[in-house]
Parts: sequence; structure tokens; C-alpha cells
Amino acid sequence: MESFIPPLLMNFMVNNNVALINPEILILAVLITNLLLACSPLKKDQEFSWWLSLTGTGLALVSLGILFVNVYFPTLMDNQITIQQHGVMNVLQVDLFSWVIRTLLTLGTFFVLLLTRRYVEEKASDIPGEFYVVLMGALLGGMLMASAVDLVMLFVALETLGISSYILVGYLRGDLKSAEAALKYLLYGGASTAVLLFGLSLLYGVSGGNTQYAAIADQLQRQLAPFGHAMMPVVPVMLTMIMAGFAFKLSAAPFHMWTPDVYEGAPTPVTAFLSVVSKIAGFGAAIRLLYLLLTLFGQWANVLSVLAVLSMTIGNVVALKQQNVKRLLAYSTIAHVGYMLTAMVVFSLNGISSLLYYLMTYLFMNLGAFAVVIYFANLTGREDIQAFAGLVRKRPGLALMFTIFLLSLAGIPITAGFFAKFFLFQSVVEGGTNYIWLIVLGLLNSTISLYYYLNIVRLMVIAEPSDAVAALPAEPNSIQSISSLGVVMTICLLATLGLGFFANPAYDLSVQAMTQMAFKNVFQHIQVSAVPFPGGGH
Amino acid sequence: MQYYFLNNIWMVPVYPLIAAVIILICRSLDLYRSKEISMGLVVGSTFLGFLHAVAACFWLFAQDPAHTVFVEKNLEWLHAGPFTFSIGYLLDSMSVMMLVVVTFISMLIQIYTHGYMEKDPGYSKFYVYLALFNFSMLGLVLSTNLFQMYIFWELVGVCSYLLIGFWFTRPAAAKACVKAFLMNRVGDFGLLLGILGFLYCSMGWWQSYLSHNPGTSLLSFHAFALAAPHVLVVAGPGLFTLIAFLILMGPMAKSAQVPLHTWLPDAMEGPTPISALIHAATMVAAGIYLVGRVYPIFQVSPSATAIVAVVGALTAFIGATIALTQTDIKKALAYSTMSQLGFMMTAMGVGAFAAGLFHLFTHAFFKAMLFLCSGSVIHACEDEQDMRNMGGLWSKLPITAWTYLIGTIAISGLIWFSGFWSKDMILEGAKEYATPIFALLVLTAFMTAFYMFRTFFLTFTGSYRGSAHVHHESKVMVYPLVVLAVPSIVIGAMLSGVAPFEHWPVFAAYIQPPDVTPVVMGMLHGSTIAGHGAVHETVHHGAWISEIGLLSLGIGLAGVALAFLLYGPKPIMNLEQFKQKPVIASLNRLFSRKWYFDELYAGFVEKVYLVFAKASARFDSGSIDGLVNWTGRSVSSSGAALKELQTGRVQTYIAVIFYAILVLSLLFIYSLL
Repeated sequence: MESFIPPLLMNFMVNNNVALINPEILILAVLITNLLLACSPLKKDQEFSWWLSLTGTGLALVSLGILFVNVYFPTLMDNQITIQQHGVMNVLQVDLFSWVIRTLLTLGTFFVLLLTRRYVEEKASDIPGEFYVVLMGALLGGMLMASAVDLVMLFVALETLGISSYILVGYLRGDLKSAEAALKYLLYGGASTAVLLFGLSLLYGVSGGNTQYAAIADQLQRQLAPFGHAMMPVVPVMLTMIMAGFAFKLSAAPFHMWTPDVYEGAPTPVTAFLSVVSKIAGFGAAIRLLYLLLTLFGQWANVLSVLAVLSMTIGNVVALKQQNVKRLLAYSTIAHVGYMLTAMVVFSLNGISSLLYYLMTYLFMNLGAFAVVIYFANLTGREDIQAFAGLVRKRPGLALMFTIFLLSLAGIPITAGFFAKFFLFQSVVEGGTNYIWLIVLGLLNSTISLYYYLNIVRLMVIAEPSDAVAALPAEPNSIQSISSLGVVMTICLLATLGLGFFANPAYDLSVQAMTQMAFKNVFQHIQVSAVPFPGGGH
Repeated sequence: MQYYFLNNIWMVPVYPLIAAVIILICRSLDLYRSKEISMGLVVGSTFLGFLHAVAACFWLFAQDPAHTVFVEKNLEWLHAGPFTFSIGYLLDSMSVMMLVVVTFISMLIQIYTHGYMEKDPGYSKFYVYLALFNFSMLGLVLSTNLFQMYIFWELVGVCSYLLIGFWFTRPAAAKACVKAFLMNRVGDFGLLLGILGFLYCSMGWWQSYLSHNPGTSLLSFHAFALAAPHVLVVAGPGLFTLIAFLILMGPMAKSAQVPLHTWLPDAMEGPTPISALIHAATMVAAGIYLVGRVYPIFQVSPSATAIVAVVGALTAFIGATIALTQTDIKKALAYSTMSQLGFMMTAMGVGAFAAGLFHLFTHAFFKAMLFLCSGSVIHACEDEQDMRNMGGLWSKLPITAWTYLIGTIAISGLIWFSGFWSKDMILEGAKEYATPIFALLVLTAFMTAFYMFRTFFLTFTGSYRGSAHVHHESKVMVYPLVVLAVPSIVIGAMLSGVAPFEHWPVFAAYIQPPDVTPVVMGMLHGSTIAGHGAVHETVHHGAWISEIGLLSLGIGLAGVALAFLLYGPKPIMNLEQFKQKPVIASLNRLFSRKWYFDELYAGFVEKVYLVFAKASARFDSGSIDGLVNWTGRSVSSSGAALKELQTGRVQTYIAVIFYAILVLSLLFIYSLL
């Protein structure tokens, strides 16, 4: 192997830890192969592209596993991790935190691929493989976002994900709704990106022309410390703009308005992708950048908490009135983002760790719910909530799974969703009495959310079967009936229950990831509550 | 090899779980159809567990002193605030004893089930439930702390519920499983409150204990001897007795103690192997086991001990009286189980700790066997359960009859059979504790011999009174009976240190209550403490029969004689006339109506509970619902209003972005000032 690589390149790769981004390289290779296949005169085969992408994503997962065993697992035993060890070409910081996020993203995309199989085939465009090229691009962007520690890298990664998402949303070319959603998304995204870019360029200016996070932190600390924050009115404007840019990605209110329209119009697997993968990537990047800035400029808890409360409240309250399952899940996503933002407000090690755990559970429960919705739509062609009535009589297994996902989303005990909310609110409690009102609002909102989640359960279990359900054929009871959707649902179900049962190992991993995040100095001068993992003495 | 079994003892509950999952998956995918595979998987998993249990037994015998040695391994499961909940396994003399009982009897009953359920369409499902029950029960046995035990406690409850209602299309079975579930909820609610109360009074203590003893767990059983006196001091005697009583409520429901006993006889609606396994040998004994585990709570408080003793003695007595009048063979056995559980509970209360658990041990064997015999009879008589329609079955079912006779002798406490030794120890303990309880138990022992031989004579002697065609006994059902007959005869003597077993381990030397005396002496300055279980350690050494032994033998024989005279081949008087006599008639009514417990509960629900519920419902629908509806409507209408904002026009959306940035920036600048 080594003999094929020129020594100069080899040297470069070793010096820059290129091995750490092997999964990204794999995804890129799949993307290019798909692209070439689409352009080549070879036989056009949608199925082949699908298999290729699935295998590639699976291999990326394997490579992530190898990385964990070889690189990150040893660090769990040793807390003396320096920035250099995980830096790649000075623009990426591929540490345990980024590993967790990247694994979630790849896993999420893997599931989305399984969800798309029938969907894309049925509604295939003239260019086979197009969908998968763009999807791989989106994944690549998300993965790079999770590790970016350079403003330019961040922006490029963000846009790779963003532009890919616009295309994915508009994938159903003949469908007016899809096209409208794509256009709206594009316009809204364009405006937000402009704002974000403006904010980033201000940051670039304020920090004396640095793009790397570490250098920015260094420079700002030296420049701003003697003056105090009030001296520079540009700072709050800059921070608000950067935050608004991320809020758009996370669809946090009041920057959420695109979400319901886009979620409803987009092909359902794409909606699943946007609501899970795109959110996780957004949080990954936001945690890195916003936390750097949060540390440097305290005091903006107020602004973040406005975002959190607005998102929770608007998400939950508007969800009450929704008739379409996809729109409902869109608003529920907004509400969950609101819960997660409360952890950002509190700004403690436990806070972000619980946020990371929340993301893990959210991946599985939300994707599981989407898988059920897609499965149901494939069966009946319906997406309205009423159509689910009486499902338990025709498809008890499906109804049971949907119930568990919804209960987990609602935060009912023994599911992972409960523990996610529990850890989150607990970290807010530890944050001090200032934030009690946030918890009160959070709990009130959870109560509201019970209504619309359990409403679906009620319909499925108690109500008379809807005409769509009544028309369903009797359940096929054989091995053939297990589809790729079934695999996704089963894995998500096991993970939703398993992450609840083994909440602590997962949570401890989050704590480790956050502890190891390169900006260790960030946490050192903050009041951090005790780190509850075994053997991790500081 | 022994080390493998010993070091992986935690696998014991896991094997049945794996078996259950395999059957579940394979059957739902229709990968196999053969019934033997289901049976083989479950029996095999239990057999593996039995090997572990035997290895643990040998390990225990090699220890000295064996009654204090223990191995506790914990795994952190959940952090909640300052506390860490752990799950793990605890290996000591008590858990080893229970492991042996549960795996051995389960295994035999699982084999027996093959014969009993062969033609049932739910065959594989039944084995899945059996395996799940084994998982829960063995998990309960190996629990290191009260929380873990509570989890498995609820799991065995669920399995019991599923199995009682196995034939849920029968209304009686459906009702019985709901009744069992509700009764147990009452008890478990008390247990949970008790646990929380206990924890609340010792929060700080546990924190310091855990920091000084890493590797143990919150509410660890082996720390109770230290924790209980502490809680007594913190809570004061009154509150402490309440906590102890609440904790006792769990065992009262699970072990069918008065007044939470009424579910057990109804639970006989389940298939007979279930009655033998769950409702005679293992699960109902879990209550006694729990009391044994948290024994220091009862040791330090004389009033709590008295409650246990009185509840136990009443249960023993009431159970026996009702059993006198039962005509259904399984119901009679169920009441006798209840009565025997009362004996065990009394033993715990009077401080005869080892005696109570010894009786649990011996009772498990012969009672499981008796139930299996009744199953064999019922199976042979085409599902006839009424003893008035049986009789003279000796010739048709010889092995069943012989084993039933052995079980009857054992439970009646007649000489040398296993029940004799354990019952004897309990009577001895009761005599030292209080005369009324002793008298009650002696009377009960007399009745036990009487009603057990009554069922024997009614079923197996005389002439056949039924109409159903009697089949021969099935082979696969008879083997477990024969295997169980051996311990039913000898196990009591074997573990009592009498000839010819002088050199065998003595049960009471291995099972002893934790010693709270030094702790309590240090804290309470010499006030009296109830319950020194160690006293009875070597009662039977050398001597065959003590005074108490003679007494119990005498009353046992009297009971047998009376049964022979009234129900034997040549009854001395007409029973129907005898029942008409004034005192006898009213007693008969009282007993056959089961002391009116069911009527009492029904009356309570109707007259008190429903009235209260209706009043609350009115209050609820008037004021609370109004408030809730108003809140719901206002939230919902604000949702509708907010929905209007979502115009669908991208111009609006983008305008919102810029206004939001403006407002947020201003807010930000304001908060900085």
C-alpha cells in the first residue's frame, strides 16, 4: 500500500492525521463514483447507485468503528489530549466529540438510504444516481461541519450541506409542492446564509483577521479583556447574526418559518434527513463555534433562552392544530430544538453532554417515527393523522412501534426520550436558580406535547379504523415481509429502548467527548459540576 | 469447570431470557414447528442454571463460617442526582438455597408441562412465559439491593398475571388474573412507599456508606443490618413500625397473607404446572425471601416483628380452616399453600429465621409435587377438578397416588418426612415467642393433617363417583413426580444433622439472620431486641424427636385418624347430618364462604370506594375539567392564532428573519448594559 503513495504525499498525510477523515474520504469516493456512473454511457441503474451508496455508508460506519477502537478508545483512559493530536490540516478538529456527531450523521444517512429505496425508484428522475450523489454531498458537508475549526471550512461545509438540501427538497421535479418547498428553502436559506456570513466576517474583523477558532479565541481574549464587553456595540450584533445563521439550520424560532412548508413539500425520506441529520450537524457546528464565543462573551444566555422558549412554545402549541403527520413532526422538531437549546443556555459540561445524549436518542426516535410514516404512506398513500385511526387492528406491530417512538418523543419513562429530557433538565437545575423558569416552561411544554403525541396513539388504538386502514390487506406473516423499512424501524426501536436502559454508558461517552473537546481551556474557568464518569480524575 | 459456573453465576437468569428470545423470534418467523425444540430450549436453559446452582452449593459448603460469607458484584446502572442505582448479583447462603430450589423445580415442571400442554395451541407461548418467569424469578433471587429486587418483583408479578390468564378466553381465568394483579398492586404500592420511606430516612447514611464501601450498592441487602438501626433512630419507633409494615405489605400480597390472600385460590384458574411452579413453590415464596433479605428491619423493632408473627399465624389458621371445606382439589391445595406460607411468615416473626426458610425449602418440593399430582389427576379425569366426582383412583393412577400420599405425609408433618423437620422448628420458635401463636399453629397443624388426608381419601380411595372416562397417567408427567418424591421424603432429615445424615451440612448452620445486636446495643443502650434466630441452630443434633416433635407427631396422627374415620373407606357417620348441627353448620358456612373476605372487599368497593369515586368524579368534571378544558382551549386557540402567522409567503418569512435579528440584537445590547 505504502509503495503506491508518493513519499511526499505520505508524509503530508501522516503529519496531518489524514487517516482521521477516512470516513469522509470514503463518502467522497462514493459520491464521485456515483457521479461518474451517471455521466458514463454504462447501463443506467437506480438500484446499483443505491447499493453503492449503502455499501459506502456502511463502510464509512465500519471505518468510524475502527477509528474508535484505535484512536478514541485509548483516549477514554487518558485525559491528556492535546489539540495537535486530532487536528487535520489545521481546519478540522477530529476529536471524540466529532466522532460521536459523525457517527450519528452516518448512521442517520444509512437509515435514510434504507428509507429511500422504494421511494426514489418509484419517483425516479431521468438521471439515475442523482439523488444519491446529492445525498452523499449533504452527508459529507454535515460530517465536515462537525469537525470544522476554521471559519472558512465551517462556511464551506455548511453550504455543502445547505445547497445539497435545497436540491434534495426539490427532487420531485414534477411535483409542484416539492418545487415550491425547494424554492422557499433556497430563498430563506440564502437570506440566512447572508446574515451568517456577515456575522462571520465581523468576527473575522474583530479578531484581527483570524479564521482559526483557536487563534480567534487567543486574539479576542487579549484584545477585549482590557475593555470589557460594553465597549464594542458591534459584538452583540455580530453574535446575534451568527446565532441567527445557526438558528436557521436548527429551525429554532423565530427562524423556523421555512420548516413546516419544506418538511411537508419535500419527499418524506428527505424530510427525515433534514429533521435528523441536518439538525445533528447543525448542533455539532454550533456547539463548537457558539461555545467558543459564549465563553468569550458571557451574558448572552438571555438571548439564547429567548430562542429556546420561543422554539419550545411555538413548536408545541402550533403542533396541536396540525392535521398532516409530516407537518406535525416538523413542529415537534422545532419543539425538540427548543429543549436542546436550554442546555446551551446553561452552559455547563453536563449541559452540553446531555445535549449530545439528546441528539443520540433523537436520531433514533425521530427516524423511527419517520420510518413508520413512510411505511404507512407506502401502504395507503395517506399522510394525514386521521388516516392512522384503528391501525392497531390491522398492523399491531407497526402501531406498537409508532406508539413507542411517540412515547419516547413525548419523554415517557423507560424510553430513551425520557432519560434525554431528564439529563437535560437536570443539568439546567444544576445551572442554578436563574434558570428555574426555563425548566418550568420546558415541563409545561412537555405536557402540551403529550396531547398531540398521545392523540395519535389514541387514534391508532381506540378509534374505529379509518377507510385507509380498513382497506389494508391482512398482514403477511412471513420472512419476505421484512423490508428495508422494517430493518430501520427495528433498529430504531431497539436503540430507543436500549439507550434508555443503558442511558449511563451513552451519557458517560457524551461527557467524555465534551471533556475532550479541544477547547479544554474554555471549560477551565467556568463552574463545571462534578464529572460523573468512572476513572476520569482531573 | 466449577470456576466457570461460579464466576458466571449472573448468567443464570440470562439463559432463560435468551431461550425466550430465540423461541419468540423463531416462532414468529415460523422457522420451526416442532414442539420439542421449544421445550428443549427452555429446559436446557434451566438445566444450565441448575449446574451453576450446584457449583454454587459446593462453593458454599467449602466456606467457613458459611452463613456470613457472601460475594456481591455490582454494575452501575443509573445515576440520578447524588445516587447511583446498581444492578448486580449477590451470592450467599440464602440466594444459593433459592437458586437450587428454583432451578431444580422449574426444570422438572418444564418437563411435566410438555405432557400437560401438549395439545394446547399456545404451547410455545407457554414456554416463552415460563422462561420469562424463570428469568424474573432468578433475577429476583440474585438481586443485590432492594431496588433491583423491586424491579424483578414486578416482573414476576407480570409473568404470574400472564400465566394465570393463559386461558384468557375463560371468564374465570380472565377475572382471576386481574384480581391477582390488583391485589399485588395494593401490596407493591405499600412496598414501594416503604422502600422510599426507608431510603428517605437514611439518605445521608447511604451516601457515606457508599463512599466508604465502593462496590456496594444503594439499599444493598448486606448493609441492612447497619442501616436498619440507623433508620430506627432517625424515624422513631412509631414511624419505623409504619415503614416496616409498608415494606411487609409487598410480601403479604405476594405470599398471600391475610388480608391480601384472596387472589391465590383464584389463581388456580391457570394451568396446573403454573399453580405448582409459581403459586406453590417459587413466586409466592418470594415474599418470605424478601422478608428474609430485609430481616434486620424486623429484628430491631419488636412491634414490627409482632405484626409479622400475627399476620403469619392468622394466615396459617384461616387458610387451614377454609381448606377444610374445599371440594375443588386445586383450591384445597391452594389454601393449604396459603396456610403453609403463613407458617413460614410466623417463623420469620417469631425469630425462627432459619426455620422459616427451611420450611420454604422443604415445602417447595412437596407442594410442587402435590400440585403436579393434582394435575395428573385432573388430566386423567378429563379436566374434572371436583373431588366429589373422584374417588378410587388408586388403581388407575398408582404412581400418582403413591407420590400424593408421600406429599400428604410430608405436609402433615408426620414422622421423618421432610415437612416434619421444618414444621417442628417453627413450632419450637413459636413456643418460645408467645403461647397464643403457638396454640394457633398447633391447631393449624392438626387441621393440616386432617384436610390433606381428606383430599387424599376423597380422591384416591373408595369407589369412583365421577362420570368422565379415566385415562392412564402420562409418562412424561410421572417422571417429575417420582424425582420430586425423593427430596419430599428425605431432604428434611438430610439437612437436619440426624442419623444417618450426621455428617451432612445442617441447614440452620448455613442460613442465619444477620447479627444486628452489636449495632443496636451500641445505639439503643440495651433495650430488648426481638428475634434471636441463632438459638435454633442445632435443635436436632443427635436426637430424633424432641418434646415438640412428639406433640406435632401426635396431633398429626390425630388429624389423619379423624380424616380416616370421616372420609376413609368406611366413614363412621353421615357427614351431611353432621354438617347440620348448629355450631358446625355456622362454622362450615364461615369457612366455606372463605371468612367473607371477598364479600367484604366487594362491599367496601361498592359502599365506600364507589361512593367516594362518584363524588370525586362530580368534583372533577365540574371544576377540574373546566379548568383543564379552559387551558386546553386557550392553548389550542393560541395555536390557531400562531398558525395564521405561517402564511406560506416567503416574503413574510424573510422579513421575520430581519426583524428578529433587530429585536434580538437590541435585547442583547440591553442585557449587556
